Amino acid sequence: MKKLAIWTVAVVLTLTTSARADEKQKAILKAIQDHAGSIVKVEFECKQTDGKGARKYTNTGVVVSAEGLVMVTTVSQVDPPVGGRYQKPEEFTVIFGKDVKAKAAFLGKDEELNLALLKIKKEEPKEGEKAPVLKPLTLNRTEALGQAEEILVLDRLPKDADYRPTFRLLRVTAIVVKPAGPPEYRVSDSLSGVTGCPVLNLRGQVVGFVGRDAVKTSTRSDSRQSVTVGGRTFFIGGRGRSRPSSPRVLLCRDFAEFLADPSKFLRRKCWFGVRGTQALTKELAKELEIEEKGGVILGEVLERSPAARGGFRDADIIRKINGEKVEIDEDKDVEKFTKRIQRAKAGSTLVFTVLRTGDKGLEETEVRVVMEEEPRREYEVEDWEEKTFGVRVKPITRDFLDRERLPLDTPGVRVTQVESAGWAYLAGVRRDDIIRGIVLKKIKNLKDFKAVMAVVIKAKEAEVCFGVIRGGKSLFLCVRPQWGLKKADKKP
Amino acid sequence: MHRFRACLFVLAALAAAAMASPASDEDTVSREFQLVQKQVKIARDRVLPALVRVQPIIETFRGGRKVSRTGYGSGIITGPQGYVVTNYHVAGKAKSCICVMANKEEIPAKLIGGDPWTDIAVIQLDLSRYSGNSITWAILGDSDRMEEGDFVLAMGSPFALTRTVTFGIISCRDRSLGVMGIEGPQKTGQFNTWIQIDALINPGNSGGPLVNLRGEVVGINARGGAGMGFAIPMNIVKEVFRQLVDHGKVTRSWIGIRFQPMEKFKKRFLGDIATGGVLVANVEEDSPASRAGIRPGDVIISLNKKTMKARFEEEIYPIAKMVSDLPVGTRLEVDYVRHKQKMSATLTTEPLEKVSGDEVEFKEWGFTAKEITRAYAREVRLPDARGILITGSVSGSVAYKAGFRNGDILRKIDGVMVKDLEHFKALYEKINKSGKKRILARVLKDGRTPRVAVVKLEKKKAEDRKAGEKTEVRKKKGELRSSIRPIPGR
Repeated sequence: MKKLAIWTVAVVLTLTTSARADEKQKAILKAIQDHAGSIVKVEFECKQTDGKGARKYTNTGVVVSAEGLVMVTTVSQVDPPVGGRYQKPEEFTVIFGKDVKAKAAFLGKDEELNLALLKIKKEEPKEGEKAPVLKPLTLNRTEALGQAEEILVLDRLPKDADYRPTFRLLRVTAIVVKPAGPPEYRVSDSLSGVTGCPVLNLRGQVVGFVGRDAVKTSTRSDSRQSVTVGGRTFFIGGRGRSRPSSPRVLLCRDFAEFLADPSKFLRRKCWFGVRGTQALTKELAKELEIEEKGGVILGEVLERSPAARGGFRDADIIRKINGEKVEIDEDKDVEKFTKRIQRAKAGSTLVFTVLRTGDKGLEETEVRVVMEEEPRREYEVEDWEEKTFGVRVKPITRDFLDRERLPLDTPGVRVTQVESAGWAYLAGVRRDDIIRGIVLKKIKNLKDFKAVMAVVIKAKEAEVCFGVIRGGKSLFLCVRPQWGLKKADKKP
Repeated sequence: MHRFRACLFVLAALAAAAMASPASDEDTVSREFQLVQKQVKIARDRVLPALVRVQPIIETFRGGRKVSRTGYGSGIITGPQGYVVTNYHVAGKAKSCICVMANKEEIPAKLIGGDPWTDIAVIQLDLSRYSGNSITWAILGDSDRMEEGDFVLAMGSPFALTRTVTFGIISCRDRSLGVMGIEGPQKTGQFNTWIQIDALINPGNSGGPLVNLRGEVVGINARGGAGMGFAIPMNIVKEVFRQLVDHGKVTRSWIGIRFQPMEKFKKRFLGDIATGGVLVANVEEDSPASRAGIRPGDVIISLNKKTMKARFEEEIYPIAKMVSDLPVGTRLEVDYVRHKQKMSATLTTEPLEKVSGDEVEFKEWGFTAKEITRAYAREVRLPDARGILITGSVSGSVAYKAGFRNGDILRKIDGVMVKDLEHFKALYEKINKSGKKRILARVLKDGRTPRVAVVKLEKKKAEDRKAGEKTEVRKKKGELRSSIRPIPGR
C-alpha cells in the first residue's frame, strides 16, 4: 500500500513537471514567434581616423515604429565622437533575416538614456534580396521585473547561422535600488554579447532592453578632455582609455517618455551657461539665513551665455523655475536642475525666482532667460585635413576656449593632428596650437584657413610663417617648403 | 679615466705628427701626458680645497603640513668671508645648511639669497665653527674666454660622494636650452646660455664648480644627464653673486615681451626697411610693452637707440639680459617695425616678479597655501591675482572637511574678498580670535569652478583639545620611561 502511494506521487509529480516544461517551452516559442520579426542585426563599418583601417560592427537592434525607426543601445559605436579613433559610419545595413535587408541612416541619439535611432531608407531591395516587413516591437511601458523572475533575452544568430532567432533564459537574482536613478536588475548570467536585445517576461511582454548605463566621468587631467557618448567615456586630446559600463537591463517604463515621442529627445539640448552649480543644502541655507532649504546656487555665470543675457549674476540662488519650486537640497540632485534646463525648448522663456545678495542682504528677484540651443561642442565639430602641409584643423569651439581659459573672441583654427615630419611639423606646429595667422594673413575661422592655404600652395610660397597661440602665448613658426619634391620624398 | 687617456693619446699623436720630430712617439706621448697631468693636478689643488658638499635643510609643504626635508648638492667657497656659491635648486629655499669642507669637517651655513631665474644661490659658512686655521677659496675666472675643446674639471659631490673630480672638454660654450621649469611654475634659463661639457655630471654635482686647467672656476654645474653636463657661465654667476651678497636678492626689469630670433622671419616681417632686429613673439597682457602698444609680430630694431640684432636663438639671451639688467623704472625708447613701417614707443620698465609665491601653513585649519603672484596668475591664465592658492589639506582637518584641496583658490572668506596672502593671514587671525563656529568661504575648485563651502571651526577646537590631551599624556609617559632607563656607562 505504502509503495503504491509513493509510486502514485512520483508519477503525478513527473507529469506536472513535464506539463510545466511544456508550458514554458510554448511560452518561449510564442515569444520568439511574436517578436522575432522586430529584432534585427545592424551592420556598419567605422573607418579609422588616420585612414589606415576600419572596424566592422554587428549589433542587435529593434524596430520601434512602422515608419522604420530602429533603436540601438550601442550609441558609442553608432555615433563615435569626432576626434576619436574611429570616424562616424556612413551607412548601416539592417538585417531582418537571410536575404532580408535594408539600408538605414543615423537619425539621432539621447546620450543620457544611451539610446540611438536609425531610420530605414525607402529603397528597392537588391537582386536576390527581399524588402523587409516593418513590424514594430510591442513594448510594455508599465511592467517591472520581480526578484527570482525568469526573463527571456531574444536575439538573432550571426550570419553563418542565417540570422536565425535565438534566446537566453535568465533569472533576476537581485534588484538593487539606488538613491539616484532607476533600480538595477542583476541576472543569473552575464549580459555581454546581447546588448540591444529585448528583454521579455514569460508572459511574452517586452519589458526592457539590454543596454548600458549612461556613466558620467569627469576629466582625468587638464590636458585631456573626456566626452561621454552613449555611456562610454572617450578622452580626446590624449591617450586616455574608454571605460565602458557593464551591460544591464533597462526597463521600458524608465524611458517610456522617449519611446512615446523620440523626436523630443533627439532635438539639440538647451544650455544655460553657468560653471559650478551646487545645491542649497540644509547647512548652507542655515548659514545664508534662508528659512527653507532647496534651490540651486550658481557658481560663475559665463559671459555671452543665455544666463548672462538674462541677467543672472555669480552666486545667485535659484529657488523657483516658472513658479515651480526647485526641490534640490543635495549636490547629487543638481543633475535634475541641469536636465530641466536641457529639456527646455529653444526660444522658450524660463522665469526664475532668484535670491540675490543686495544692500539689505538676500533679496528676491525675478530673472527671465530665453533658452538657446547649446553651442557645438569640440567632439561634434568635423576637422579638415590640409594634405600638402600635413595638418588637420577644426574650428574653435566654445568649450575648448572655456577649458583653455582663452578669451571668447580668440580667432583662428585649432590643430588636431600634425603629420610626423610633414611641413607643418617641420615648422614646429603642434597639436592643440591655435593657428591665427599664415603669411601675415589673419585666420579667423576654418574658411579663412582653407582660403589662405589654397593661395599659399598655389603661389608656392618660399617661406610659410604661421602665427600660433600655444599655452595662451603667441609664437611665430616658419618653414621653407621644398615644393619641387614629390609627396613621397618629402619625409626625410 | 679611459676617456682622459684617449684624449691625451690623440693630442699627443697629433702633436707628434705635426712636429715630425725625430724623437720616438712613445717619448712624445709621455711628455704631453705628463704636461697635461701636471696642469690637471695644479687645477685640482687650487680648487678642491674650496669645494664643499652642501646638505640643505629645506622647509617644504606636503599634504597640508609644513615638513622638513634634506638633499645633497655641491658648492664652492668664493672668498674669505665664507660665501659659497651653489645652485638655487640645491639651497635656494634652505632654512639652514650643513657643509662638509674639504678637510671633511662639517660646519653650518646660512642662506644669503637665491635667484631662481639663473639657478644661483649664495650661502655663508659659519666660520666660527671651523676648526681649521684658514679657509681656502677659489679664483673666479672669465667664462667668455673659454672655447670649445678646452679641458675642464667638474668637481662636486655626485650622489653625496664628496670631493669627486671628473674630467672632460667644453662641448659647446653657448648652448641654448630654452626656458625650463625649476620649482612649480617658476622658470629658469631665460637670461643665459649654458656651457655644455662632457665631464660626468650626476645628481649631487649641482652647484659644484667647473674648473679650467689654470685652476679658475669658469662655471657652476647645474644640469646633467645622458653623458652631458651643463654649467652656468661664471660671468653670469659673478653678477648674480654680487647682487645676492649686497641685497639678498636680484632685482630685474620687466617689459612683458618674449623675443624670437629673426632668421626665418626677416623677409616677411622686416623686408628691406632695416637690418638686424628681434621679433616680438608674445606680449603679456597689462605689461609695459602692451601699454606702449607693442604687439606680437613687431620687429624691435633698437632699444634706447642701441641696435638690436638676434638672428639665431642664442642671440636672444643677451637681449633678454640687457633688458632685465636695466634699473627698474627706466624709460626705454623702442624703435620697431610693424607691417614694414618704422614706429617708436616709450615704455617704463617694471620689476620682474617671481612666479612662485611664498607658502604658509595654517595649522589650526590644517592646510597650506601659497601667495598668487601676478606672474603666476598670468602663467595659468587666472582672471586676477586675488585669493590664495591652496597647496594641500590635512586629511580630516577643518579645511579638508570644508572641501579645500590642492589646486583650489580661496577667494572669499566670511564675506570678505581675499586680496593676497598677507590679507588672508590677518583675516585668519581675526576669525580664529572671534570665536565664530562656522563661516562661509568661496572657493574656486581646481582654480576654476566656484563653490560655496562651510568652514566649521567648533569641532576642530574640541578635537584639538583631545589631541592636545593625548600628546600631553604621551609626553608624560615618555618622560617616565626615560627616567627609569638605565644610565649608560654604569
